[in-house]
Amino acid sequence: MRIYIKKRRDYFIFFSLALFVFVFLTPCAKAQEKFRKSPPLPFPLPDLNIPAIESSTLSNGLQISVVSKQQPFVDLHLIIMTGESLSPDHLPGLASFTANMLFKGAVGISASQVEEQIEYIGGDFFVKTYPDYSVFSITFLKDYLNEAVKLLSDLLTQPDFSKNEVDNVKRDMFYEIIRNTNPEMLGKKLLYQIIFNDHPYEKYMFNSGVIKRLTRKDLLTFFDKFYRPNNSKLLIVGDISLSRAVSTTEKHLSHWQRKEIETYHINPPSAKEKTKICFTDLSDSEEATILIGNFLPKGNIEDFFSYLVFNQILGGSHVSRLFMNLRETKGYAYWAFSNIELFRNCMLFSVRAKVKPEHLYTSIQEILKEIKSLTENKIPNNEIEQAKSYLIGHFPIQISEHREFSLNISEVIALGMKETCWVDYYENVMYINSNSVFKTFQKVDIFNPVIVVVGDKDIVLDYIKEFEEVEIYNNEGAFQYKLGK
Amino acid sequence: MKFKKLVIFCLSFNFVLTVFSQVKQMEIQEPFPVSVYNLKNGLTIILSEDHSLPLVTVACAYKIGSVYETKGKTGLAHLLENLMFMGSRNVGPMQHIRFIHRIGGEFNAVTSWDKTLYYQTVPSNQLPLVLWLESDRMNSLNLNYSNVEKTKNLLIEMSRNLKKEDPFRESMLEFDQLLYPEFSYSHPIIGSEEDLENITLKDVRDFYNTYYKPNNAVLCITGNIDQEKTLELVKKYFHTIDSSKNIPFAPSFDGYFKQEKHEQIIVNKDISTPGFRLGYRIDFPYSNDFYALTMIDYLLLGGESSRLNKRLLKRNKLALTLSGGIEKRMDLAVFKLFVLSNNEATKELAKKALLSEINKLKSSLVSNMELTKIKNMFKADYMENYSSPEKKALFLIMNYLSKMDIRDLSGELDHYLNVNPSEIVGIMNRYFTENNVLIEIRLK
Repeated sequence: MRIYIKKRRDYFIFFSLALFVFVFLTPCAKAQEKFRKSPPLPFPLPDLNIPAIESSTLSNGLQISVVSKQQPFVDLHLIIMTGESLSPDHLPGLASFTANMLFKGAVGISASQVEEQIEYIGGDFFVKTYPDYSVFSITFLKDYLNEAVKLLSDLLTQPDFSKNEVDNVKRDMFYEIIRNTNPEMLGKKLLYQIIFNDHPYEKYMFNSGVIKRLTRKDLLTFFDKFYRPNNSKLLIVGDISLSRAVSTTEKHLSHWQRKEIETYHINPPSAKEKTKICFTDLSDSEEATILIGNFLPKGNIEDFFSYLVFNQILGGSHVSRLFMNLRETKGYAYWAFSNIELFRNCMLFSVRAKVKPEHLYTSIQEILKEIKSLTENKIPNNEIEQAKSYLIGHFPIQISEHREFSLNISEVIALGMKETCWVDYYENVMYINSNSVFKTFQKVDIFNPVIVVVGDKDIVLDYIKEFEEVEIYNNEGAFQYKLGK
Repeated sequence: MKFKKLVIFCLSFNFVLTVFSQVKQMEIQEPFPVSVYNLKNGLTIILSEDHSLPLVTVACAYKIGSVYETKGKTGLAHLLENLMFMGSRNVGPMQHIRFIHRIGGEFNAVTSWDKTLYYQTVPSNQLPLVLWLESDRMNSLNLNYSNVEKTKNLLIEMSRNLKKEDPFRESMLEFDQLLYPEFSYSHPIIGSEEDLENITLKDVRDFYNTYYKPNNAVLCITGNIDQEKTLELVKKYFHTIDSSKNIPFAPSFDGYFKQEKHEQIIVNKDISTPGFRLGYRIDFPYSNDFYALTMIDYLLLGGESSRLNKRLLKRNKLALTLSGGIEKRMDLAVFKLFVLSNNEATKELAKKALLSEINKLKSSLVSNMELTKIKNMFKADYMENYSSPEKKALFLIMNYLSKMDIRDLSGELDHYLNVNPSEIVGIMNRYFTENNVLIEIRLK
């Protein structure tokens, strides 16, 4: 069909029709819009504004730190700066036992009354002991700060530690250990035992056998020695000022008596000189669980963020090398990740993977190959940038829950990390490039890791025999025998 | 001159269309600011700004859950949830997940009785990416024989594992069939293995084409957003997606949710632990009685210091485990209790102790101290529901799709906090009576 346009009026009608079609009928067209064909570009990265940590110290040496933040809850963390590493050598588990006893009553208040008082203020609590410190966390409605600090004061200054509760806590700890047949936990326990052999951190993963040796007397001695204001830090996160926090804590905790505490220096563990392969049996386990670990020296802030970028590329997420290689490409594994755990004077780098037993040997080889390739060569820039983009994107999500937010800060305080690690997170990540990661790993030796395998011995041992030498342990961590090729 | 006028008229009309293609439906300020809009194609948009962190949650819910399924087609809603990650016209299989992971984001999807929900939290500068991904699978999901069969097999395997891992699952399903009056409410969300086997590609395509439409969906965006810019983006990605005129009405229970007594013993060879289940049919969610019923839930089972926890687990050590509380399935609600004991004798004692605690609440007033405690616990849990952008989005969607008018959110917490001791006695006597509502399953 031809369209003849002769007059200006015809032009007018033609363009009017065209405009009408464009304006009204375009949205009705079935053809796909162009913008649907490819992913859109992001907006510019917004700023991350994290409230600063403000601190003050009471006359008895208790450090009070406050992070002011609008929220209906207060997250309160008491950090005792002594952890499992300072349990006596013959009594590993004493630090955990003491920590677990703190909320079990005070003079005139039973354990169930403590629970009731915390629930009365809309609260809940948990206790956790790490190698370097113990943390006692209570979250409650913001109107009840006074009640929460008063209760904490009663527990710290008038502990009861009744025989009945001592028995209850020991029983709970015992069953928690023996009921734990999670392959990852069993593997982690053995990894810690082997990697921290002859180092105070070895006591972190104690066995059920030690529970019966713990006594009320040991507990009182440990409590008296370490549960002191000058060995503690109190973190309060919520809609509260430092001055209000100080006046409330002064009112209730200033009579908590200080006592000189012997200084303990824990040396960083020395790097492993030889790769060691260990196995522990878990009957009826259809898969094999692998844990591979080694130390990283603490280093400076640039080293720390280089470790984070390295970890992200290796196994920090579902798009990292280990997951993509072992699961997506080769189909050896159900999952494979890596992680960096922080301690006061070192870091533990570890890989964990759940694999099909027939691919156990090759999976371990692949993991070691990936680690070697990332640490011996300069990592391509695009991978570095992708990892940085993940870390920058994920950090605000990681702290979006108020409990996670405050726990992250408590870790910064407990491990004596610089506050800039936290408030300048974006800048620190952005600063890292291929050279900085390469430079950091020139100073590090992680090529002789400890390798732990957990699985059913009837299935897995056949595949593990391909290694030169394997040490066999029972579930309690006792060495059984060596298996040669 | 006329030509110019016409051009101006057409452009103005286009502008008006743009503006009114999203209509503001309502706005609330408490407990936090929320605005609700509707696109011309029926898509509901809920927006809530929160600039505390540079992140955003995008949650997209479709009003389709297991209650909508019919006999022989159970598990269809859950199957489709899984297939929504298998690719669409412009996004490859599993690419949705990879796009989100690559930018440090997190995602999840869940099928419940009344809805199927997809949500992701990402850095806020990546909002366009998520809208692009969500709109693509709403617009053009790739459904083919191979994907459907592969996903069906995975879900059948998952169902078998659930059976293996939870020896009490069978009794729970049987219990649900007694407690809920109709099949649609009582069947498991994952569906039966037989039904999953028989679901065809056509079933899945019909299901998607019926329910995965903008006028059957709610898109909720919370976090570090600018409302105007966000609306423009949503409109860009969603307003040309076709709506449907044939979305079936949501099922609702019209009958009388009658109270009756029923006792049954389930013998399961795999279970060596004796136990029992009790169930009470109660008033529908968001009814006037529901506030006091919720407080009763907290009195009996809320926290370590709840009445049943103290009596059965701590003081008398009659039970090994105790669980339960109010369960809402669309427009119905029940109160469930599940107890496991060491032996037959302690099981009987546990049951007596449990019923005696229920009777106490029927005859004596709760002290002010205890009432304040459970109200504070409830208040903390309630406010926890909107303590992060992700939780806010899920809270808003849950309430928007409930029978409640979202405008009533402003005073909702007060309804719970105003419950008084005599109301609790009244409600206990209405719903927790031995003669009219007691469905019991004993495990042997």
